[in-house]
Amino acid sequence: MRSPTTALAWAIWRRGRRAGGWAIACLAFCALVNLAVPGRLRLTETGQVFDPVFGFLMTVSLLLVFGLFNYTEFNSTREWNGFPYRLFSLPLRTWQLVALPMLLGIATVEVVYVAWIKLVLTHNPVLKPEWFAVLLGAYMIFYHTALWSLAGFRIARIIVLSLGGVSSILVAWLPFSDSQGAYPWLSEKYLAAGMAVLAFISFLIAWTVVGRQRRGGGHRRNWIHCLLEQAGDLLPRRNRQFASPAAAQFWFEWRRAGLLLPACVGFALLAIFGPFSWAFRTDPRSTIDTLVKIVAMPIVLAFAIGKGFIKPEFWSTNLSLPQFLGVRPLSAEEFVVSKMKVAALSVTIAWLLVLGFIALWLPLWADKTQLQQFLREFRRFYPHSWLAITILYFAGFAVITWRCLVSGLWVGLSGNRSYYIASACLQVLVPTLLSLAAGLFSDTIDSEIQQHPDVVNSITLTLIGWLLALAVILKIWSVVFSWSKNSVRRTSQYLLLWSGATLGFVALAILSPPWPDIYRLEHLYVLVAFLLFPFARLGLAPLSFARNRHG
Amino acid sequence: MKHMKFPSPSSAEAVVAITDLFRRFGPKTVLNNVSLYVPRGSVFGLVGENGAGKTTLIKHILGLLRAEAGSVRVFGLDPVADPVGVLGRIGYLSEQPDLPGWMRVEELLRYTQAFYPNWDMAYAEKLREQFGLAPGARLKTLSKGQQAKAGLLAAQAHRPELLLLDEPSSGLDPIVRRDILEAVIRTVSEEGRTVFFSSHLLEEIERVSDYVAMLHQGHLVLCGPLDDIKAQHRRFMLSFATPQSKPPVIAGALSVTGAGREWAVICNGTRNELPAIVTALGARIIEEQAVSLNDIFVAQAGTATTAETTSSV
Amino acid sequence: MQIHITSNDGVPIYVQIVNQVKHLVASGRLAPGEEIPPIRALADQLLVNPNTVARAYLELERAGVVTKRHGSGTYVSETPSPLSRREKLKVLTQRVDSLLVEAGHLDIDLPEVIELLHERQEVIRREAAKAAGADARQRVPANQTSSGSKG
Repeated sequence: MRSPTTALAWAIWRRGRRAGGWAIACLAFCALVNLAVPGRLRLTETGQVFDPVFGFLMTVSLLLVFGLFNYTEFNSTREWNGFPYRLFSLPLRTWQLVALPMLLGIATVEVVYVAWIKLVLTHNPVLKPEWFAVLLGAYMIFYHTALWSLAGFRIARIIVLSLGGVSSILVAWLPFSDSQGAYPWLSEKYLAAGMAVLAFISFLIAWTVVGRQRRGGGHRRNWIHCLLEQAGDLLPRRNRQFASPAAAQFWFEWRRAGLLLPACVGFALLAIFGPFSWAFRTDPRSTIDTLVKIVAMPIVLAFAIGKGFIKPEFWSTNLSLPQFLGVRPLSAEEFVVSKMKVAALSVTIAWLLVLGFIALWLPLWADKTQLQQFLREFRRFYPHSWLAITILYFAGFAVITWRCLVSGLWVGLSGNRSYYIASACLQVLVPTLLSLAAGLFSDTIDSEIQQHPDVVNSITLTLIGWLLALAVILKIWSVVFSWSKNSVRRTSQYLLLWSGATLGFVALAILSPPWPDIYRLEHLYVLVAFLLFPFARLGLAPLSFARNRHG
Repeated sequence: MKHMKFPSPSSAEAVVAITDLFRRFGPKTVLNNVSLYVPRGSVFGLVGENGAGKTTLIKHILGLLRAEAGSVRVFGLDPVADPVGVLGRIGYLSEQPDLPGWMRVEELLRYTQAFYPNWDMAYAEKLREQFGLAPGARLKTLSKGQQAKAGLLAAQAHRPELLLLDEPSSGLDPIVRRDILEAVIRTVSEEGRTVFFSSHLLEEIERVSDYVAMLHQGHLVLCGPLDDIKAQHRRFMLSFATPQSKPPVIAGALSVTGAGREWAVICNGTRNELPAIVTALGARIIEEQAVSLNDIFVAQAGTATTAETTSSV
Repeated sequence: MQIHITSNDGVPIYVQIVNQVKHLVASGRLAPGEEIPPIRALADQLLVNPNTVARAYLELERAGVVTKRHGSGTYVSETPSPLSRREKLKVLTQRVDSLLVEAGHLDIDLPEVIELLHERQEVIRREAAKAAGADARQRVPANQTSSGSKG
C-alpha cells in the first residue's frame, strides 16, 4: 500500500467485493447482449426491446455501487453504525478522511455510469448524459453525509435515505419537465451548478460532523432512548423476589419485548386514530371505515412486531441464543412458555386499549348513523346470536393477534438466519403476489364466474374444500410429531388451549354463515377455523430452542 | 507431542468426566480426542493459547455444544439432555460476561436468584458491597471490571457445586483479578465444591490449581496434578566446550534455547537419559533448575524458538 | 505471619511456604508456642489453593517445625526440630554453596565471608531477643534481615 488512498480503496473493495462483482456482472452481461444480439442480427430497431432490461440492470448496478460505498462500521461503545472509528487514529487530516471515500465513490460511480453509456446504451443514447453524471456525483456525497452525520439515529437515517432516494428521482427529471423553456433556472446548467454547490455544502457538513466525532463528540444515544430510560427510572421498580424461575423468565421477556405492542397500539390510537376520528367526526361514512382500521391495526402491528418477538433477543440481529440465557437452568419448554405468556399479556393489554378507545370514541364523538344502520341489519340476519358473534369476533381478533406474535417462534428460536429470512420473505411475498395476481386477473375471473356459475361452484369450491381438508389432516398429523418430545403436562395444557380457541372459531363459523349461503360456504369456514390456531409449530418451538442452545 | 491421559478416578469422584471428546467447526478440528476428569473438591486449571479450544471445551461442559463424538458427563449427567439438572449446580463466568445491559444490578441479583434454590441473598449482598456495585446501576453503564464483578457475583452467590470460569481475568485490572481468585479459593475451601477455570495468566493457575491441563491445537498435551507436572519438568543448563552455531539436537527435550556455549534444555521425565546424551554431544550439565508453569507452557506450545539469553548467574 | 509467594522461579508454592515458615521460626519472628494462621485464612491471605497450604503445614509438621493440636489449631513447636543431622547439613550445604559462589563472583574471600557470618549471627540474635520482648507487629529490622537473606 503506497498511499492511504490505495489502502482505503483496497479496504472498500475487499468489503464490497461481492456487490462490486455483481455490478460488473450486470454491466458485462448487458454489454455482451448489446454487442452480440442487435449488431449481429442487424436489428437496430428491435434493439430497443432490451431497453427496459438495460435500464433496470443499470439502476441495480448503480445501487450496488452505492451499497459498496456504505462506508460505515459498527462502533460498539457508541452503539452506532457510523464513520469507521478505527480510521480516526490514522495520521490523516479529517477532511482527507472524509473526502477519500467520497471521491472514491464518485470516481467509481462515474466510471460505471460512463461504461454503461459507452458500452451498453449505444443504440438508444441517454438524453443530457452530463446532467446525470453531475447528479450521481452529488448523490454520492449526500449519501455519505447522511450515513455519517445520522450515525446515532438508526430509524431516522433509514427514513432520510429512503426519502432522499425517492426525491432524487424527482430531481433527476426536473430538466425534462420544462419543455417550453418557460423557466430558465430549470435548465440542466443551472441545476448542475446548484447541485455542485449543495454537494460542497454537504461535504462541509460531513467534515464538521466527522471532525466532531473524531474529537469524541456526537450524539451518544438518541434522545428518545434517553427519555424512555429516564421515564423508566421514575417507574416503581420490582422489589419482591420471583416465585419461580418461570416467573423470573417471564419478567425478563416482558421487559425485553412485552410493552412494545401495547405501546405501539396506544401510540397509534392517540396519535393517528384519535385526531383522525375527531377530524372526521361529522362524516358518517368514515365511522365504519375507521372502526375496521382500528380493529385491523393491532393485528398488523403484531405481524410486524412478531418478526422481532420470535427471535431470542428482540433488538438483536444475531439469532443465536445469548450465552446469558443459554446457561439459565431452565428447560427449553419453559423458555417458550414464558414467551407465549408474555405475548398473551401484551395482546390482552393492546386489545383492552383498543376496546377502551372504541368505548370512548363511539359514544362521545363518532357519527353513528351508518353504524347503527349496519348494526340493525346485522341483528336482523342473526337475531339470536348477534351478541355471541360480536364477542367471538373480538376474541378471535385477539387470538389472531397473539398468533401473529408467536406462530414463528419455531423459526426465530432455531438460530438459523436463512430460515428466518426465508420465512419472513414468504410471509410478505406470498400475499403480495396473490393480491397482485388477483388484481391483474380480476376481470377474467369475474367474466368466468358470470359465464359459468355452476362450474365455479362445483369445481373451485370443491377443490378448495379438499385442499382445506387435506391441510387439517396434515396439521393434526404433524402435531403428533412435533409434540411427542414435549412434556405431557405442557402438551395437555396446550391441547386444552388449542381446543378452546378452535372451538371458539368453529362456533363462530357455525353461528355466522354467509347469508344467504348459496355456495354452502359454511363447511369451508369450519375447516378454516381448524387451521387458524397454531398447534404443530408451537410444539416445534422448544426443539428449535434446544437446537440453538446446544449448538 | 505426547498425548497424556489423566488417570481416571472413580466416576463418583469426578465432577466433570470427558472421554474422547471430538469437535469440528467446518474443516477445523477444535477438540481432538480430549479426555479429562475433574476430581471433586479440586481446582482444575485449563491453559492453552488463544484458539487452542479452551472455550469450546467449557461450552461442552455447559451443554452449549453437543459432543460430536465422545461423551461429556457433569455430575454424572449429560448436560445436553438435562440442562436444568446440570446448569442449576454450576456457576459460570466468561471472559465477556454477556450480561443484559438494560438490567440493574439488583434486578440481576433477583432474576438470577429465581433460578437457584440455594441462592444466599445475604452473601450476595455482602459481595455486592465488597465489590462496590450500586444496586440501581444499569449493567451497561458499568466498566468492564465492574461487569466482571457483577458476573462473578451472579455466578457465585448460589454456592455452586462447580464454579466454571472461562478466562475470567483476561483484560482486567489486578483488583478484579484478586476478587476472582478469592472467589476460587472461597469456593474450594468449602467442602466438596470444585472449580474449573481457564486462563492465560499462568501465575494465577500456578497459585491456585491442584490439577492442570494444557490444550494445544485441540490436543490435550499435559494433564495431571500441578505438583507432578512441575516435578517432571526440569531445566538443565548445558555448557559446551565450543560455541554452537545452531541448537543442539537432544531427544526428548521440549525446548532448547540459548546461544554460544550455554544452552538451556527443558525436559519432561527424560532426566535419566539426559546425562548420557549430553556427554555424547560433548557438553556437561552445569545446573538443574525447577521451572515455572510459564516455562512449561512456552516449551510445550513449541513457540520458544527464538534464542534468548537465559539467566544462569 | 508475613509470607511472600512468587511464581517466577519454579519453586513449588508449598515449598516456598515451608521454607519461609522455617526461616521465620529460625529468626525468632515466630516464637515457639505461637499459633500460626489456620489453613483457610492463610490461603485467603496468600491467594493460593488451601490444599497447597495444607500440604505445606503437613510438611512442616513432619519436619517438627509446627505441631497440630486437635481442635485448637497449629502452633510452632516448643522443641527444636528433630531433623537428622545429615539432613540438616544437606539443607545447609546448598545454601553455603550458593553463598560461596556469590562471594567468589563478588571477589570476597573466605575469611571475610566468615566474618560476615559472625556479624549477621549477632544481629539475628539481637533481633530474636528484641522480638521475644516486644510486640509481635513492630519489627522493622527483622523485615530487613528477611529480605536480605532471600535475595
